[in-house]
Amino acid sequence: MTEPGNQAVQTGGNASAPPDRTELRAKEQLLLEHIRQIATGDQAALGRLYDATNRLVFGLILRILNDTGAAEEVTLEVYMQVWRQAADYDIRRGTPSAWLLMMARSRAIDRFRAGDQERRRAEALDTVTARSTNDISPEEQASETERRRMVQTALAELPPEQRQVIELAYFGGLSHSEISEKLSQPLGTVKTRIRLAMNRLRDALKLLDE
Amino acid sequence: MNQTHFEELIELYALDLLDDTEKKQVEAYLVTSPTARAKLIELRETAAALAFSVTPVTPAPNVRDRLLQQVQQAGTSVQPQPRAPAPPEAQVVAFQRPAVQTSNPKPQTPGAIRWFALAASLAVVGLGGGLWLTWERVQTLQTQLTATQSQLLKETLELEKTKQKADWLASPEARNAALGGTPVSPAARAKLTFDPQTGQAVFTVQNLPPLPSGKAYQLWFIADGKPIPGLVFTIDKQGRLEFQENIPTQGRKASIFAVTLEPAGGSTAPTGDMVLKTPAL
Repeated sequence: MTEPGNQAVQTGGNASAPPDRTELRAKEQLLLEHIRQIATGDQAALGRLYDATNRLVFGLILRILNDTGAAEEVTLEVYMQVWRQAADYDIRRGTPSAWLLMMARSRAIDRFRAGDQERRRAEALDTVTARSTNDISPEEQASETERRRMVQTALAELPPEQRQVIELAYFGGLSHSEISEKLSQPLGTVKTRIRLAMNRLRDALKLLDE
Repeated sequence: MNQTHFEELIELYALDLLDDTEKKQVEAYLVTSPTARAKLIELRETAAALAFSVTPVTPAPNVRDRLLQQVQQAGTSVQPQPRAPAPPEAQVVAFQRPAVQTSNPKPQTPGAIRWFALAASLAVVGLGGGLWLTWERVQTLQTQLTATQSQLLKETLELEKTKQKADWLASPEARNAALGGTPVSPAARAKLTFDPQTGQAVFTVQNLPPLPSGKAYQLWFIADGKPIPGLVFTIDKQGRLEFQENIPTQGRKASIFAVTLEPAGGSTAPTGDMVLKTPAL
């Protein structure tokens, strides 16, 4: 079982049904309830929010930092921030999961920029490129998994040069100027690629929110 | 700079890629454009959705304990304050607002009228303030009531879930698999109990070696000679973990289970050393 993983598990392509929107909405509603309860000082609600979201939050942070210890620290920081700022959360500015995940990404990138993890970043980016096309398993049935599949498919369907800038920006935490330097591409080209990619992803993922 | 220029920066703003100067310029533009604000919300949701492309990973169980401990220790010093919801007219805008003009010159009023106006204003402010406090109190009580009801419901559901779990763990249909260590992890042990009908499973591991940086463990179900990827997990300092997993349909047919060392995000096929396995393997 030590051979390289090039014989990826059979992928499901686009054959499976999209995530059930009603279920996604119900999940967001539940997260919203937790956040509102946290805002009243309910510590158990923080535990429930953590239980409902920790794998996603930790997975994202670990993906950016590629360091288990640091990822655990940042995960703790994120939920402590939720504890302090739950009363400021406003649903009109975005869904609960978007609020939480953007907070997690932002904290992970801050930690990443503060540390010297260049080598790990390179490794991580290699991994994401592979995952974006291969890590799709038809056996998994949960709606979260379906959502993951949809996002992975949307990313995989971007032209390679657009996917590359999005991955460098989103998971690598590079600014557009840094990406321009790293890829030896004019700044305007990088900006255009990011804009095109984001709008394309927005259109592809929109049906999740309609 | 013109409107088009700022509109072209919204995607970069949504990804937090702009420097402080550009960020402020975009924020000032957002205040003036409801369309741009709506677009930003969509782009933020898109950016957040990208996180769903990553394989979820379970952190070590002590992270939850540490979190609740920190919250308890922080006590009232950082405890969030109950806050009444923003009135509807507050709307979406939490971006920087332009400074409100408060220094408009006003015509001078004669003394008596001025006193009357002041008294009337105070009365209105007093009445308004009282109403506001009452409204705020009602909102707080409503929030607390909802929280209590919601908690009761959750606890009932959790109890029901625990009962169901105990039932299926004890049922004759439940399958058990004992996993032993390998030469690289001689002391490691694990037990997997699962319901072949629903895929519901409980996996308990102990004495796994500490994880190298950037690595995680991953569970595999081997059916018809093919490894099917399972949960990616990390362990506590004692090398232990217990978690619940939902085994995919194909994996439920498996009679062989294994755990390997993989990159932190997990793999689609095993790549690293095997640290736990069922005896048949």
